[in-house]
Amino acid sequence: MARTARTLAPLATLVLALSGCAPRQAAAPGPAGAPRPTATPKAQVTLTVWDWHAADPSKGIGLWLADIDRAFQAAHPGIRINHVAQSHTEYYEILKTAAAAADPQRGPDVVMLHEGSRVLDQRQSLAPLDKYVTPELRRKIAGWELVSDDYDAAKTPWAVPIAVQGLVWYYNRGLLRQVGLDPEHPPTKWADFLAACDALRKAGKAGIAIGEKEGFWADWFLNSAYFQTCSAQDRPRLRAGGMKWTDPKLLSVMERLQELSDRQCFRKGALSTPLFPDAGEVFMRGDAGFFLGLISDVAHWKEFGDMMGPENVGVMTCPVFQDGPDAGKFPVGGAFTYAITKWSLHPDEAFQYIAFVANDENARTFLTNVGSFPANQTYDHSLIADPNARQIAQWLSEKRTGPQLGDMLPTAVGEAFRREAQSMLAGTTTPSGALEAVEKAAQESRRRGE
Amino acid sequence: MSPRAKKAVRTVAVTTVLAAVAVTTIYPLLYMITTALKDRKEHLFNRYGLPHHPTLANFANAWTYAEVGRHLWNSVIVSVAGVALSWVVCSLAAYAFSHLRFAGRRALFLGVLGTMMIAPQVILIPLYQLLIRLDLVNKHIGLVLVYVALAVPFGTYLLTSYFRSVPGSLVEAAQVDGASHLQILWRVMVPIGRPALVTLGIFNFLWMWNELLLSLLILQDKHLRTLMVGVANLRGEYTTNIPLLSAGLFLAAVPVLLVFLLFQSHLTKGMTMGAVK
Amino acid sequence: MRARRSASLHAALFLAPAILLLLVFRVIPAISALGHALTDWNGVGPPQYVGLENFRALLHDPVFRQALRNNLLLVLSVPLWIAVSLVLALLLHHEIPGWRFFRGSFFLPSVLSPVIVGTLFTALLRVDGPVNRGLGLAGVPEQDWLGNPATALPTLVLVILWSVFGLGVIVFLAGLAAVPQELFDAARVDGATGFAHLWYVVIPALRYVIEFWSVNLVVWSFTSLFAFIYVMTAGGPGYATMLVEYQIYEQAFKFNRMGYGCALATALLLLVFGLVLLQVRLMATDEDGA
Repeated sequence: MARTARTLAPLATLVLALSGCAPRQAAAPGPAGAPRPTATPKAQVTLTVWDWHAADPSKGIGLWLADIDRAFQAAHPGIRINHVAQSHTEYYEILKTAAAAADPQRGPDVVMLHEGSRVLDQRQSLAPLDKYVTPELRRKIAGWELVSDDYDAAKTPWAVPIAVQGLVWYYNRGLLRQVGLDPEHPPTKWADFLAACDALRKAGKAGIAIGEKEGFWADWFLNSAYFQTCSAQDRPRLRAGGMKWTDPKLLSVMERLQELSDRQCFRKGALSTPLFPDAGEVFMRGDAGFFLGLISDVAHWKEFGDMMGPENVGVMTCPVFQDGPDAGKFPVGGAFTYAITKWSLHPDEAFQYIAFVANDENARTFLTNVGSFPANQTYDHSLIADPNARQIAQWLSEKRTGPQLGDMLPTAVGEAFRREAQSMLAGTTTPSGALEAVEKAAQESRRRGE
Repeated sequence: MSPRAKKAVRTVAVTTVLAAVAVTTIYPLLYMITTALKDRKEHLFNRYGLPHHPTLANFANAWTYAEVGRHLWNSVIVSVAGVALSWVVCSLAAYAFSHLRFAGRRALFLGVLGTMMIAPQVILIPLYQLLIRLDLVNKHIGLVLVYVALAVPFGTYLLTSYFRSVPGSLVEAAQVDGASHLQILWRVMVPIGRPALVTLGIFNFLWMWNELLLSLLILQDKHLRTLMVGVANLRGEYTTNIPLLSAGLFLAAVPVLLVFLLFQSHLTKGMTMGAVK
Repeated sequence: MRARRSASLHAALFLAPAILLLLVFRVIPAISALGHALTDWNGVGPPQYVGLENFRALLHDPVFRQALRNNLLLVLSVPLWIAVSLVLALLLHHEIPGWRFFRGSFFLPSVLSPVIVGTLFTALLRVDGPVNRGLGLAGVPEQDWLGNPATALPTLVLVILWSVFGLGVIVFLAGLAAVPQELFDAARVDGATGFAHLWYVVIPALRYVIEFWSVNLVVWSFTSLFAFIYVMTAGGPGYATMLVEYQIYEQAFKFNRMGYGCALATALLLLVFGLVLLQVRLMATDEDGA
């Protein structure tokens, strides 16, 4: 064994040196390839677009993208769109592997990315967009802080937000009425909320339709509730290490989460129930009174409205346990964006495509046809028929929003939080024990310079 | 108790146990089919029972969305080519390991087996870079070669064990007749080793057909993609339509189920006869 | 002398395709990965050499320790897997009417891809699912099989066992078919009752097969369970079902710590190799037996 190690070490170093060169070699134009075009090409340009929505048959978004491709190609006869549908679950694995190869011929020109840490993690494979993003674009589109350096909208952007995603609490008006509560005034105070869950439980229903199998729910709860205890300055402090995870501000949130579990507000089997679609289905079936859900795509006002009737659904923000200036806010983030890859030979055309996807007309159809909120906020609110959607749109325009805490953290730390929260809900650790473990993960992450 | 009665009791007992196990293997498949026969709304309220209003719409939709027609053909190409090439490569190697004497034979054999222990996750990136350099990305042959490389250790092991059991006298007789090694392989080993070859072929077909990650990685062009990839795309970002997904998964499983039903007896006859010899 | 040289040349030619394929598509990428184990690399930019730092971190990593523990528990359960397949093979060997149908049904799960198996059982094992309902009839209180950290790993193991026990049955059936009938008859004449018969007659006769299959299972349990974990538990709840294989995926592809992932893979490789050597030595079969 030792002998093998001794012979492997120099070999490994050699291979390391060689493979260290590999990505850069592949990125440069090959000897047989054409030199980078300097003049705007009049010949046919093909843009390869990668995303995970194009193949999805369950929602109108696949059709929306197909329509956009058709319209764009009609308007720009010199550009052909090669849209490649990737499977969502393996998407980032595939993308990173392609990024390591950085091949202009076989790699994509335009890629879809989740806003937030996903975009910023991939920066080294992307083209900076500062020369393309106009002030008008900045004005119309929301979410620039989630795709720019240091989460600062004034710095270099690396992707263009296309949609807006956020977390709000939905409730079943019929069920609330059934247990003697007024659906027009849902329980927004913490104590009232717990009482409502008790009442629902006694009526044979569950309080909250929860799905913790993937670990998202605790994440979502943190994102939804932290506005009450933390300020805007706390976010960068947490990331940099100035604020610890064991800080009372965050402990308070974890203890509330534990309280929800202890008070049996959750439907049974939380840890093996997937959030999608099972938990949503529990809510749609009318087996639970509350659901922490999204504002776009799925598990949102449109889906619930279609299944339950919009008059049966209500929307509110996180129940308040600690009043503060930001207590009524709800988190936004995690929507999809389009970015241009660093190795693309046609960045100008690529941006033309992206800007087209994000234009006013397509934003309107995104809202009306797909039932999701576009990042381009120029749409007319009177177009919105669903009362809950109109409420959310109102909140969005009032800027009653804040970023998701999870979006600003390295993936490893977010994952540690999710797993520790699961352990806490399973009863194998305490709120402070969970946060201590997350703090350790955060320190390890900082040590690695993530 | 009379011996006849004892035998009857034993038969009943054995049958009960076997039947109980058989239920656990068949029921999940039935569940998948019944789920696929429900529409979304029914599945919402009736998750586990039989469908009240069975529909074939999910199968039709899965066929269309997952582009089963096109992907099916690609899967066939890749799997059949993979199986055929594995046969050739593994037979040649197995012959060498079983009937040719050379220095370092045992060490090399162990080395070949040892490659089975490399975790696939980590070689993914260097493998992909290598495939690009060799211009094998987005080509069926690229995927086939990677599959064959994965099949080599187990296939060689199985065939080596089996070939070793061929009586030395047969080989010597052929050599005396002036046959070259290749001829010996073709005329003596292959016919005797046919059960093992058939078994290996079926086994390889099964896993190559079901393989997802490498296929997704190497075949980018949708005209080239295999069936499992097409079906995997039915999952979408949030997997909302379970009946549709079930229908798709079932469609993906049908070819392997057919192969299994048709060749069951071959497989069971030869699975690891090599290990026994 | 000439015969030996000719044999060596032929050997080289015959082995060339296999060795070449292995070198190009397995060994070279693996060496590259081994090299990256000594670096800090996010998979995209240039790797940074950090020596044995990743291995040092590995030794102090609580997640790795938990994953390793889970993997070793899995290995300890392999005798159970062998026992199940062996017992069923013995029962089938009686060739009661309809035995071929049972043999076929046992093999059925192995034909399905792990994605299908995982998706199916996640649905069946839910708190309000048919498994709980069925067990409820037998008086067993309902459990959150995959959601309770205490039951998650055993449940996962049982599902994986469901998926592969059929292969083991086939393997052992083949082995039993090769055992001369006289051996069975002699034991019965001697008055060997069921269990003793099993222990003293059948198992020794199947030694090679058992060794082959158990080595196979052990290696497989370390390198090929990814799809099951991914679909059923993603290593959770918490870290209850975390396995080293899954941790490699998380570190390399979710956390962008390719270097650390490679270090984990190296550790895994060494561990598996060591375990197999140990296993083979314990079973003490001679060289030409394999």
